[in-house]
Amino acid sequence: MNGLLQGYGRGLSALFFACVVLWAVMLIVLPQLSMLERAITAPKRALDSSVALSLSRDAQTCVSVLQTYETAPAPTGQASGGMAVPSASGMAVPSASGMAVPSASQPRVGGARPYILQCDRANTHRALVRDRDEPPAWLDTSYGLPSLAVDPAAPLAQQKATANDIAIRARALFEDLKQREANASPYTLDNFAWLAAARMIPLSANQKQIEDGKWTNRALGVFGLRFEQEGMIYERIGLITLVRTLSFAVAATALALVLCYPMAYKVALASTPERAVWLFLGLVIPYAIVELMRVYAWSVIIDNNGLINTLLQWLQLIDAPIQFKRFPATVFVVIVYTYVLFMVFPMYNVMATLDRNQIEAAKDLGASTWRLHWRVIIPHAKPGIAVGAIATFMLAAGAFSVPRIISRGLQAEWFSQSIYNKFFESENSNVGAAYSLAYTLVCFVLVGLFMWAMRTRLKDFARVQ
Amino acid sequence: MSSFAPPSAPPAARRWLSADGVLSVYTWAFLCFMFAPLLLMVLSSVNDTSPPSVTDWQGLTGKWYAFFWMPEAELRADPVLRALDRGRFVGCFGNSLVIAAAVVPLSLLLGLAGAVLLTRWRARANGVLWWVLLSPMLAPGIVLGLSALVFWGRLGVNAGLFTIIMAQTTFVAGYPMLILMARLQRQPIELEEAALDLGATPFRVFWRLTLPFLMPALVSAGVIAFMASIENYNTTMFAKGGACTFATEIGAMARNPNGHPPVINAVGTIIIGLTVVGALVHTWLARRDGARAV
Repeated sequence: MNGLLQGYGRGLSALFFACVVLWAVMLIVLPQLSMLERAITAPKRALDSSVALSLSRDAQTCVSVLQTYETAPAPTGQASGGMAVPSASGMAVPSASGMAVPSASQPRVGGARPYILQCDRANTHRALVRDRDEPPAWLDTSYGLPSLAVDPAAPLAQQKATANDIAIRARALFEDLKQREANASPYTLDNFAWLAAARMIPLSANQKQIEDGKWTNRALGVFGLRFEQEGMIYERIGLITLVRTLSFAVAATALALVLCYPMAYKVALASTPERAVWLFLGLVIPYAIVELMRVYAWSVIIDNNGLINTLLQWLQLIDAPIQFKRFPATVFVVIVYTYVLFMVFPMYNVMATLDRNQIEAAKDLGASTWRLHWRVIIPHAKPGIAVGAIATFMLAAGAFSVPRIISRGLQAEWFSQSIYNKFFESENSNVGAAYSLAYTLVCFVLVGLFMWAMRTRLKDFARVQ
Repeated sequence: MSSFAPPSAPPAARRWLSADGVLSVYTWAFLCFMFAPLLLMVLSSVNDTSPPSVTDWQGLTGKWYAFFWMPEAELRADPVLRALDRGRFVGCFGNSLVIAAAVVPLSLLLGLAGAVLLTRWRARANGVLWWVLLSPMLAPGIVLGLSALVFWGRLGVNAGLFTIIMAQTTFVAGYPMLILMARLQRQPIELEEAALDLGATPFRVFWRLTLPFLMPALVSAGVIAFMASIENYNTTMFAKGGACTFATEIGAMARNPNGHPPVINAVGTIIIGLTVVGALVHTWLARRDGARAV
C-alpha cells in the first residue's frame, strides 16, 4: 500500500483502485452473480396465491352482479329483449379474469338467475398451475377449503350467501398464501436438473439395433448417460453434450500440444536468428487473421464440391461426395486449426529464455535428443506449456463460431450451442443460465486441477504471454 | 589444441543433422497446414462462382471485391450479389468500429490500473485480485457475453452495443494488463525515486517518466485490443441482442442455404493482405530498432 502511494500519489492510486474495483465488480463478479440468481430462479408461472385471489374476485363480482338482480329482479322465464344491464350503483367490479358479462341469451330453465360467468367460476374446486410432469392439483383439496360452488338453481339470496362465503374464504387463503410465498425461498435447483434430464429417443427396432451396437453408445451406457426403460431408449442429452464437448476440447488441446512443441522448439532454439524472424512471421500471420476467416477458409476444402471431394472423385476413389459437414471430426480439425497457434506463442516465449549453452552442455555430456528434451527443455518450458494448454482448452471448449459455421446444424451440437439454444430459444431461459453457470464451474474446476497438477501459478500467465 | 576436438563429434553431428532434417520437414509441413487454407481463400475470392470454390474454375473476376462500390443497378443485376444487403453490412462494420473505439481506451485504462495494482500493491488481497482479474481470460467467452446480457438486463439496459462493449471489455482488458505488467516489471525504479527525491509530484513522475516508458507497450496493447474487439464472435453473439457487428454479420452469412457468398472470401483476402503488410512492417521496425540498439 505504501509503495503504491509513494510511487503514484494519492490521486492516481485512487483512480487505479476505482478502475480495478469497477472492472472486478461491475464486469466480472456481479454479472456472474446475476447469472447465478437467474440460474436458480424458478420460471415464472401463476402462483397458488394468485389463483386464490382470482377466485375471491370472481366470487365478489358474482355477489355484486347478483345484487343488481335482487334490487331489480329480472322476471324469469321471460324472453329478455335486451342486455341485463347492472345498474350504476351495483356496477360489477371487473375481475382480473374478465368483465362480468351478463348473458343476453335465454335464462336457464328453472334457474333463479341468468348466466353469469363469474358465478360459474366461483367454485373452490379450481385447478392450480402445475408443470407438465407434476400431478394436477386443486385449490380446495390442496388447502383444505370446503368444496363450494354457486348453485344456479338455488334461490338468489342463498346464491349470494354462498358466493360471499367463497369470496371471504378465498380472500383469507390468498392473504395466508401470499405471506407464506413471501417467506418461502424463490430459489430452486430445478434449472440445473434439466442438465441431467433424460429424454426418450424414438427409434425403430432396426435403428435401435444399429445404435445399440455402437461403442460410443455402450460407453454412454456405462456411465448411465443412456439407458433402456420398457423397451425405449433414454439419453441424458445435456450431460452427453457436455461430456462430448469437453472430451473434444481436451483432445484438441493434446493434439495442439503435440503439433506445437516442435514448432516452438524450432523457432526458439533450433534456428539462426535470421531464419527465426521469418519463421516467427510465418506463425504470426495466420495467428493475427480474424478468427472467422480462418474458419471460412476451410469451407472451400470440405464442401461437397470442395477440394477433397473433387480430388477423391478425380482419383475415382468415391462416387458420391462425402458430406464432411456431418462428421464431428471435421469440426475437431477446424477447431485445432483455428486455435493451435494459441499454444505456440506461450511455449515459444518461455523457450526463448533458455540459455542455448545449456543445450550445448547437455549435448557435450552425451545426452540423447530424447533425454535433452525430457530433462532440459521441457522442464524449462513447463509454464509455457501449461498456459498454452489452458488457453487452447478454453478456446476449444467455448468455441461457438466453428461448430456453428462448419457443421451448419448437420450434427450433434457443441455445448456452447446448447447454452445458446436454451437461453435464447427455449421456453425457460433460466435453464440456459443454469447451463452456462454449470459450464463455467466445470471448466474452472478442470483448469484448476490442471494447474495444480502442473504446479502452475497464476503469475506464470504474466510471465509467458 | 587440435587434439582436443572430440572424436565422437562427426557421428553426433550426423545424428543431429538427421533430427534437424526431420524438424525442418515438419516445420514446412506445419506452415503449409497453416497457410494452405488461407491461400485457397485468396484463390477462391477471384473465381467467378458461388459458393466459393477452387475446383470449379469459372474465370477471373473482381466482382466480389467490387460489391462494396459497384453501382446499385449493377448490383441488382447480379444473381448472387442482389441477395446481400450492402447497407447493413457496412452499418455492421461501422458498429464494430464504434465498439472498438469504446473498448480499446476502456481496456487500456482498466489494464493499466490492473497492472499497476498487481505489480505494486503489496497486500494480502493481491492474490485474490490476481484470480478475479485473470478469471475472464480463463472462462469460456460465451459465458462472459451471456452474463453481461443478464446483468445489464437486470439493471434495465437492453441488449445492444452497450452490452457488447461491456462484455468485450471484461476480457479484452486482460491483454493490456499482461503486456503492461511485463513492461512495468522492467521499469528502472531508481529513476522514479530520484525524481521523487528531487521534489517532483507523483503525478508528474507518472506523466513524464512512467507513461513514456510504457508507451510502446501501450501502443501494442492497443493494437491487440483493437483486433480482439473487431474479430470477436463468440462473446458478441451472446451479448448483441438485436445489434450486429462485423463479425456477427460475417458469421450470419454462413446460414445461407446455397453456401456463403464469395464476398466473404474477398473480405478475408483483404484482411489477410492487411495482416501480412502489418506483420512485415512490424518485423521491419523491430529489426531496425534492434540494429540501432546494437
